[in-house]
Amino acid sequence: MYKVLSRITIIAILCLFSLANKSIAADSTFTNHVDIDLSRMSATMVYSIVYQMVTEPKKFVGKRIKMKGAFSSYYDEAVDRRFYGCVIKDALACCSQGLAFETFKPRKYPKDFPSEGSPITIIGRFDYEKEEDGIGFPIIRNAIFIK
Amino acid sequence: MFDQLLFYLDFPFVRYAIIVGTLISLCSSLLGVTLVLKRYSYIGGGLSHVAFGALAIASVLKVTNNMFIILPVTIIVAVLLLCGGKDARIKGDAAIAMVSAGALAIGYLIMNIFSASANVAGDVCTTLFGSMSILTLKSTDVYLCVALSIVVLLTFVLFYHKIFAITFDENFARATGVNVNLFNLLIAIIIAVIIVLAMNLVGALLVSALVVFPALSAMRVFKSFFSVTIAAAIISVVCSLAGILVAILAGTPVGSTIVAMDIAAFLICYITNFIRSRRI
Amino acid sequence: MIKCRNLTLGYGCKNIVNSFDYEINSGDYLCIIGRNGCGKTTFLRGLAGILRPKSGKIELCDNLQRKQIGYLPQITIAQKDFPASVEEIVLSAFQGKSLLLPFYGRALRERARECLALTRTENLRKACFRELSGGQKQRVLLARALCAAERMLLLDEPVTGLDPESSQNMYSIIKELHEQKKMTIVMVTHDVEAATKYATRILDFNEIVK
Repeated sequence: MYKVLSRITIIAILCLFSLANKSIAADSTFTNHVDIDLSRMSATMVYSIVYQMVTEPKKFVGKRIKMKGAFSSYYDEAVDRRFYGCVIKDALACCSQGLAFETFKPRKYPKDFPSEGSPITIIGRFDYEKEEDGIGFPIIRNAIFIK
Repeated sequence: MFDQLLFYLDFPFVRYAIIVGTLISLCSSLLGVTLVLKRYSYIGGGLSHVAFGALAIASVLKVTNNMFIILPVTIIVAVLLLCGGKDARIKGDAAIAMVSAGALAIGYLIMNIFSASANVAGDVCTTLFGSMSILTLKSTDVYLCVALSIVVLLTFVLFYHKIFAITFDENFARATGVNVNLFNLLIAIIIAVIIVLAMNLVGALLVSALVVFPALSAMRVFKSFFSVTIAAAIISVVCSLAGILVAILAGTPVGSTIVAMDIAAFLICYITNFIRSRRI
Repeated sequence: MIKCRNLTLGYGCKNIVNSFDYEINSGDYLCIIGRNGCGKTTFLRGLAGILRPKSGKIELCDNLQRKQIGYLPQITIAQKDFPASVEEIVLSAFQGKSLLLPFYGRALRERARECLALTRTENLRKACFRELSGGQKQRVLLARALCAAERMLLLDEPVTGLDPESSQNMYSIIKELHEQKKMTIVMVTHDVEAATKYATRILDFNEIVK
């Protein structure tokens, strides 16, 4: 009887702890907690989910996302801003999609970035950036690189 | 792996894909038996290319829902091909070859000239090989697919005997007073609808496989029209489900994985029949 | 029973049977002979109601109705390896009665069985059509024609491609139907010898075309 009770107490404490842990993690940009871990999914799933993110971004705003892909960047002269992207390919390797991201710590390009096309894994918070003309694009904010 | 599967099933679009995939493969296999027996196996390929051409036009015109252009165009071509068959100047297979290659070329050309999105190669590739489309359906598409498949299924069940009579012997059916022209028209419309739906599942180039393989597999093993129809339906549904699940788990393209499953089923049926006929 | 008045039949812009007058009487055993392409089958298709006359008329007399005429077309290549049971094929004859039921009633099944018995194929009821011999296939198709017919049979080359024994069998079945069931028979054939032996009338299409 005593044994059972003690076990229940331990479990209850553990549960509380994990809940507390979660609430801290949700606010923190430093931990590795993620809501959607794309890095562990198959290519088909990754492509489908990213497609959903691009077509219906509102469902995903605020979620912490981990993804694996190829690094890519381009400079948009119209807005004088350099965009960084994590690009994934579908199972046929004929279609590719990407999500733009912003690094957590400001970094210098190209010194602090990997070379074009090299594999990267990032974690960050999904957001939907509205542009002045009303059309927006999804972006991952506060992204950190994972080795 | 099982955990992984349950995890994936949590996503609504995966569940939609499974439901829609099952319904589409069920419909396509039922009509596939009729098509194979009427010697119209290649019509699936022809019509899907037409649907691809219509899709190109629809995407240039920027219609709210592509289906509103694709469906009518495909239905009209299906009716022309299947019902104008006998007295037409250009005979069946030549007409299909002409229409399918023509539509494909025009479709690709239109997509290229008036490219609506930046990724033309990707769009073309997805519609042709169906690597993803079933997993990226919008909810309106899902409802449309489900509704159309149910209509097709009900029509098939209701007119099953008439379809059999016409498939087996059109002349005799006409002599006994069956309205053959009406039912041929109905079959053509149903087939067009199925082809358009099946493009979502396996892509335009592979539609023929979805229509033909289950019917041919079932015909190896079973001997009555009823058992062939039921077996084709079961084989098709099982192969599509297995194909979708494998594609999701292993990260392979959906369309070609399903067709690979269909080929495997065909080989199993072929070998079964071979062994059985040896024994007797 | 059937009167053809000034009948013209053809496909597209080509006429095959031109302004043809003919009468088929009740109780006839009519054999139509003639060389290939002279319009025998076209004429039969006209009688069966598959081909609409371009001009002229086919009148059904003596209360004869379309649904009392049975038709046995030539077997097609597609049918030879068609996966269907004999019963399914014979029952499909009833589809002209605008049934929308997903199953057939007992009365229809009983009638199908009688017709199979008349053509000596009752034991093949559950067999697979594509595994039958040529003669058996023809007899099954004859049973199907019987299901759709009560008074008249139109037969298009029923013995073509059969061995002598099967042909003999087929002829004796047709003779039985003519004599015992009082059916009017119209048969297209190349077998002139049998035609003269069994038929009560012979129509030579070679002479009409001239």
